[in-house]
Amino acid sequence: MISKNLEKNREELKSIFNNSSDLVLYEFDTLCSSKAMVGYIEGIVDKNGLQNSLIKPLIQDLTSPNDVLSTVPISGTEEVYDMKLISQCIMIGSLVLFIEDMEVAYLFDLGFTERRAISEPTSERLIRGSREGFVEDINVNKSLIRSRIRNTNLVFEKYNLGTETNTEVSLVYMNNIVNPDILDELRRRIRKISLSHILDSGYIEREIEDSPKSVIATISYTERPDIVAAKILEGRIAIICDGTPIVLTLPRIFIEKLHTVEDYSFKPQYGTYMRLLRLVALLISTFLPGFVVALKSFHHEMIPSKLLMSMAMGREGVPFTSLIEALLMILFFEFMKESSLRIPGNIGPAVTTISGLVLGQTAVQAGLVGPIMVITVGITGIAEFILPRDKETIVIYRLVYLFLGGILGLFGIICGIVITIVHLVSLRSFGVPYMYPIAPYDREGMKDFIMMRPMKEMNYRPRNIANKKQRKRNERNDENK
Amino acid sequence: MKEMMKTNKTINKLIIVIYLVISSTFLSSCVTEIGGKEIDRIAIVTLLGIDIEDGKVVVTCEVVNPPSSANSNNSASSNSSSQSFVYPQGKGDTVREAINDINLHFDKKIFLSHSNLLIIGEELAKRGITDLMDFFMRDNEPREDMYVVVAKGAKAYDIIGVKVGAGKATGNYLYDILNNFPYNAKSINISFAEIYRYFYDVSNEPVIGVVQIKEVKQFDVEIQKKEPTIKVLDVSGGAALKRDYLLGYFTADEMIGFNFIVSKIRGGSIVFRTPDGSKEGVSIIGEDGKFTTVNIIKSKTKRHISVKDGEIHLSVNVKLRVELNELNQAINASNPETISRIEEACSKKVKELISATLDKGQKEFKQDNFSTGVVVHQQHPKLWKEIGKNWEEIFPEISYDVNVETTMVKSGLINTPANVRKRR
Repeated sequence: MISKNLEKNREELKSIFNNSSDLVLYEFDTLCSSKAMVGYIEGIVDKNGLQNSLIKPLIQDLTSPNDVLSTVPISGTEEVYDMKLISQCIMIGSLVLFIEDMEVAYLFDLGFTERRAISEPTSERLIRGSREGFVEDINVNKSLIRSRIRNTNLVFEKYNLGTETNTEVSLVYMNNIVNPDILDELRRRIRKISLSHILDSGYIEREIEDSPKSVIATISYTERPDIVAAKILEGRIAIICDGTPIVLTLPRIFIEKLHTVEDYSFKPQYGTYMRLLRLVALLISTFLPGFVVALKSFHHEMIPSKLLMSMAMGREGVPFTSLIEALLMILFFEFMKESSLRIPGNIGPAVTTISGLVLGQTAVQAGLVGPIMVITVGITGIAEFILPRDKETIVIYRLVYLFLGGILGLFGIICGIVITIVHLVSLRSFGVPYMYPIAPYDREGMKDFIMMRPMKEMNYRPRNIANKKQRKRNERNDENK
Repeated sequence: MKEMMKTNKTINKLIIVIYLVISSTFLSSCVTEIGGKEIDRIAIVTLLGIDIEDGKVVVTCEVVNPPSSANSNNSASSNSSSQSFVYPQGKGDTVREAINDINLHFDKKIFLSHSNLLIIGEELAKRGITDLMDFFMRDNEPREDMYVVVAKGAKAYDIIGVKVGAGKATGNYLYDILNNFPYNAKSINISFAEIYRYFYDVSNEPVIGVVQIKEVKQFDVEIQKKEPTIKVLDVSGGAALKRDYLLGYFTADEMIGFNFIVSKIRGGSIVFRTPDGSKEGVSIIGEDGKFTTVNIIKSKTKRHISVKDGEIHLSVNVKLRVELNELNQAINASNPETISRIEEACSKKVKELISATLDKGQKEFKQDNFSTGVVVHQQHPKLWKEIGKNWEEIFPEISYDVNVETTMVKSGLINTPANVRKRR
């Protein structure tokens, strides 16, 4: 309850905020000689607005304590009577005004925080496509999506998650396209989140995903508003989380790994080529080291004779088995990859390039590894970076296949592939089969699989993802009929 | 209820694990040892030679000896393809024993999967080979598509020792020559599996490849003074086997005839005397009796068996498409009459080649190397039932005729040799 006495209010607010020093409570006299007090948290409030639009008019123009709302030229004003609500609103950047002898307080929305400017996302660059990326501020992110889909059917559904952090989280979907079953399921899972702190969208992903024990992610993420817009228009749901530029989209199917948004801007033939290239890169980065080790230690008859001779030449003098050789090289590579991320400034690429060259060359000369293994791991590493997402899946599976190939040969790799396929096919993301257009097979879905059909023929949205309205084209004409 | 479902789940998981363990232990036929054999532990065999000496099997291998790239960087940078070879040899009562014998004095495990050639010594070929070939079909390492050749007049290890090419393995070298079969029909390349196909045919005797040592002039001037000749390998000709032992050899020209009879020609050329040019309408300048060469573009042979009064008659019909490749005489090849004469002469030559081979088969070897029995079996199955058992006696007696139909489809890039105009 708000007291008529300003001192009491001050004490109460201070005790709620545990005497935190960033809470500012400033008292001043108004024109009508009744005292007023503003409270806000320093740093998240627009100071210019506070002085020019609130304090100045109050001191110069306020004739009666009841005329506050008409005097102050600020929109988004609220009358509140509850101290708890006040404290919550102060935290997200509101400003509270108490007037002496009145049992009401006024909340003004003057929130303002320093934010990074919108820039091109570094993790996902495109040749054709927008240069905008999400930022940390949820409102900017919402506006980025809204500016791409100017439609009243686009809905933002707000949640406050995290009992300690009170992070704002928003579901984004097209009301007329989204599959209501998936939406209900997502809402149920979101409400079940009982985590005390949400610092990144990854926390939400870990809480709501279908199979936490699997290495394969069933929720996709991106930093690009155009990708999010495209996925929302396919019937998917996006989750924006305040404080992170990474936006989640779900449900996710396998083939999304190989798609980029620019495929649709190019000719379908080139798009197909790029998707095939990415598929090959996915296979190489997952299987190549295991396959090479299996060949080298079990299936010498499968290597062409002349290559085998030069391989034997390279292997001569290497004391380790192929498996350990491969592990060593992969370890080198992972070290380089991680350190290039952490090395400050622009020397990172230079250091990794040189260390890569030097390490690769000298490791061969010192007889630690054979040249074939250096090439293998090099190709594997390059192929890994063709795919924008899912590094963790690839890295883990690569090690698994490496061990299978090193211990059981191709037989082990085939066993691994069988188990992986069984796993992939049984995976579901919010009820949608993970391997959607192939298993279960869907002819319409195959038009936008690896082989791309011309845009004209892609008339339907993915069947399980968007249930309400599957047809993409001529929706208006259909309604008229 | 819930408890039961849980136990069901564990049982399911257990079944999967047991299935995987069992299948991985019993189904992994190619896995000989857990952890595998590293490349540096195996001896890559490029060529295998089998001989028989004093009742013992002698196996000679040509093994690649890879120089260590780590220890000899300068050699790797200067010439990375330089490889040396070692020739371990083992003796034993069986092939396997002989191969295992090698490991007593050779450090690496003999690995046969990259050997694409098997040389059989003449002595062993005369004795019969099938009893020693069992290993190569039964074991998992040797390939079924490796070529088999007989060392003509030599031991297999004599052939293996011949240094050929620039540091090239004899095995790869010989393999490459045998693969030249499409450019020259004077030899034959028969793989292991094909030999076994011969044995399964109703009545047919194998003809397999031959390799022999040939002395040619040494061209390297510096070495010439010390040794005037050098040994090279030559694969012309073919070895005729009776069931599994060596009966004799076909010469290089007879092999062309052989390949024509069995319709195996894939290319190569036919050389014959340029037809006599004294007739009018054909302008021939130069000496008579020079040679003409045509390239075979396509050749198809059909054999027909006819029976008249109990006498079996074989007619070999060859359809040949050739292109003119070389004329040693100044003949205007654009003249249609000239072309038809050349065609005629070519047909005649092919006829001679085929007849020579058939005669040799009938009179010298007295056996059917040409799968004629198969043709009889296909075209006169009832007759075959009666005579099939005695085919070996009947074949040398049958009569035959050869019909060759040559079509020249191209006359090369020029019509008239330059010297025709000059003389005019």
